[in-house]
Amino acid sequence: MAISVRARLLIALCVVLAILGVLIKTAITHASTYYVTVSQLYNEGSQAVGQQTTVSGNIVGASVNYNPQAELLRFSVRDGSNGRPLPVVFHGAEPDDFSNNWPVVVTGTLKSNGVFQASQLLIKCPSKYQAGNSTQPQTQTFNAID
Amino acid sequence: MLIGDIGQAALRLLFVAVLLAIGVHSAAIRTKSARWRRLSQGAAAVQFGLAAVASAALVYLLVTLNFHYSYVVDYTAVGLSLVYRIAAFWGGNAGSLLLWALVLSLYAMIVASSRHEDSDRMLPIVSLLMSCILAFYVIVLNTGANPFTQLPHAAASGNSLNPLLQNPGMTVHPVNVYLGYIGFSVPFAYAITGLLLRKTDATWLRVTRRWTLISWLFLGVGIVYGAHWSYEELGWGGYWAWDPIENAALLPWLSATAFLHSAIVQERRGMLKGWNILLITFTFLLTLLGSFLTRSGVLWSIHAFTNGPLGTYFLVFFVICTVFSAVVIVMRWHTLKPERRIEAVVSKESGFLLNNVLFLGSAFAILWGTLFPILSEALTGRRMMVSGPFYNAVNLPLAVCIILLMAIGPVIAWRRASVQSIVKTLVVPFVVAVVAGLAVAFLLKLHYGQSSILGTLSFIAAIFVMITIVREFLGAVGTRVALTGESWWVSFGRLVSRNRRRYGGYVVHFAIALMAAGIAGSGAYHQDLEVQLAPGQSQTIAGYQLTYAGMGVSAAQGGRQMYGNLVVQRGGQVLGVLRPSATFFTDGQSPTTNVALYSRPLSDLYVVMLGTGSNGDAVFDLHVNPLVQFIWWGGYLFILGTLVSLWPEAGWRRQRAAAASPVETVYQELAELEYDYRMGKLEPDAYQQTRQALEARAAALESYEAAMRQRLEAEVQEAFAERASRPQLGGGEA
Repeated sequence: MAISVRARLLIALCVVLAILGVLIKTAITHASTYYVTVSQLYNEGSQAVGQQTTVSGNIVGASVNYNPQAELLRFSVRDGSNGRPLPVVFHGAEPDDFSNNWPVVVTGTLKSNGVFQASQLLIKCPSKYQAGNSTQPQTQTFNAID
Repeated sequence: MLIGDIGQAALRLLFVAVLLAIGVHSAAIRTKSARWRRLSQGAAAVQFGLAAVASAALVYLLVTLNFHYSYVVDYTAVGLSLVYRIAAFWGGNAGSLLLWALVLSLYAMIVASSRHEDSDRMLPIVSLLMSCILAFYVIVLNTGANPFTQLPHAAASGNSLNPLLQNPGMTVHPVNVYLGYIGFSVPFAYAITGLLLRKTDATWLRVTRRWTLISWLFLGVGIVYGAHWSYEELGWGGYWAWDPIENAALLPWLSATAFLHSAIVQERRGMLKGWNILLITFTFLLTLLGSFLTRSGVLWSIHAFTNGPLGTYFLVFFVICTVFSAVVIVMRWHTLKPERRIEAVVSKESGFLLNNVLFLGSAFAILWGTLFPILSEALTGRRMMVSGPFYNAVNLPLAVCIILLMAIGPVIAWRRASVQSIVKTLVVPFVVAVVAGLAVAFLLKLHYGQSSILGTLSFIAAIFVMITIVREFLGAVGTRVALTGESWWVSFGRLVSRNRRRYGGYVVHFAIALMAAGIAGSGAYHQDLEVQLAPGQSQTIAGYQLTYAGMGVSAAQGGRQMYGNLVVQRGGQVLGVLRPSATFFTDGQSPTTNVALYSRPLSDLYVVMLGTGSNGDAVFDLHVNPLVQFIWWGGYLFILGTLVSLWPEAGWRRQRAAAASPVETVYQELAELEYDYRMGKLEPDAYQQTRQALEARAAALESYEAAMRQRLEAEVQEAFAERASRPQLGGGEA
């Protein structure tokens, strides 16, 4: 064998790295979404409709409406405190700390009627930064009808 | 007020002390005098003393609920129990930075007072680097995030610690992560010191091995405990969500794991010197990056740095550290010549290389995913993000490869291994593992009606690892029993205690395999169901029958608790009542949910009450998590294994290791070779060949040493003879 040990190791390394690259590439094209603010979403206009998107914004407290029987949560989000609100519908439970101006991140698609159908709802950490504060809303919540 | 003023003063003085310490360490480096070195040690102690006074003052303010201070107002309240008042110390940014400074100065003091090979030259530089790192935190504490900021008027009440954080986990998890994070600055400082001194042997690895292992252990415990906390107490439904903050803890752990393995290659074979320095530098930088990501809010919010200037501070410090380490490494790269080259493609050395590539690949993918919102915006102008599916798609296959390598790696011999003998050694365990793994997957499918290729592969890999490790232990003990005639137990104890690193490592491998089985089981065979039940109604999930028997209310700390009664049956037999509940707080905080758990070794029944409807209806979230307990057992075993590895070996061994001459190194290699051969890792001809080469080398070295000794003796004799021939001349000679 004329190829040195070093060269053979290098080839093996390249193969492993190539596989890794392909793995990351395919995973990212399959599992990434656009990540925009409410106003950026509106700026895209009709282009944004039907595309898987993640939107961040603040909750408009007065708009929150939750029906526990149907597990249907309706609310609006907007940028800052005076942007144009985006109506959101989410199937699932209402998370804790779901109050005015709290930042949330929703993933889903904008329907042609202007309503954002969210499949995932994330709330920003209750503390400024706390380890492990991932919010999986379907379980981190409680609602009672008074 | 007095205590707060003392704390504030200590914080200001700490800044002065750190600047002075930097001066003292520099003087100790320049003058090389023992007096300055002692002063340098003293400076490290002063830093710690002041940080401790400031920390004690803050804890005192928190415990006594002094509402003149905004930090106390933000994180405590009347009625908050003592332990969480203390935990509020690290509950917020300013306090956690003070904890950081405290731990870092403690580590710096311990390092400064240590003694080791070449410590006179190395320690002042190490102390200087540690003081520079500490300076950053002290500057932040004195400017951007001062925990002793007073309010113009005392507040009437506090905001209290978030109820989600009022949990025993809060006392364990963050502290562990910090202890781990901060600890990596010690090996980093040593690595840079070695480079600056052009001292590129494995001294820094030997000296910092314990630091690295302890930091790695703390961080690992922090991660596993955090996962357990989020799973069992907080009701987030899962133990891992690939949240940026979780990733920030995992990243340095992964690179440190790669480092722990490649360090072995440098210590044993003198290779991968530059690589090791790069790895520990990455690890250190990743801890800084993690702090930056979690404190700046850059990933969460579209508007970066919403949480004030803290993110900017961390970013600037991160850039400074990156540039500094890069410059030092580039300037000294030429000194990092390997002592040997890799001799064969199939060898333990290249196995470790592959291990490193896999760990770093995984870390890179996680880093890429975590930073993807920032990267994609910079590259394409549009912000994009990835979530759980991306991380799983990349990391789970890599994890299976790493676990397979864990089974194969230990049976590969150093220098040159024969594929034939590896295959011969592993074929039986592999076949057994495949059969057992398929059987486990089949049983799980029978029970849960699901199947998963990746899950099945994980079981096979995990069982493969377990079999090879058990066999490694049995084989080694058997060999020892045959050679020494001791009893099996004595042999086992002595074997482990004579080679703690190796066998501690195997225990950790076993633990990781156990965790992998737990993750595969709970990830691939998990069942969940959201259901609304009227009193008297039942629901079946994975063989459990749950009957809702109505609601109850009880008093709880700070409010009242509402719980649902669920009677759990299996196969017609009543197992008990589960009470998932929600706590409502009288102070108006949002209610929190409490998980009800029915834990069995092979599966957990996990119930959350989501809400209540009319007529006493309730909505429940039901989960069955198979094998999830394996993860926590693996966690305990991981601690045990690391402790075995950490435990100091007998004194004479350490001395010998420190003063290893070239001849002794060769003899050590011969002993390892003999061991590998007896364990069946080597073919007879490869063994003979290597053995002859090593023996020839030992003989050559010995004759060289003998010749040197003779020459030296002759020279000494000559010098004496000369001295005797001309008496009383040089009065000033030493």
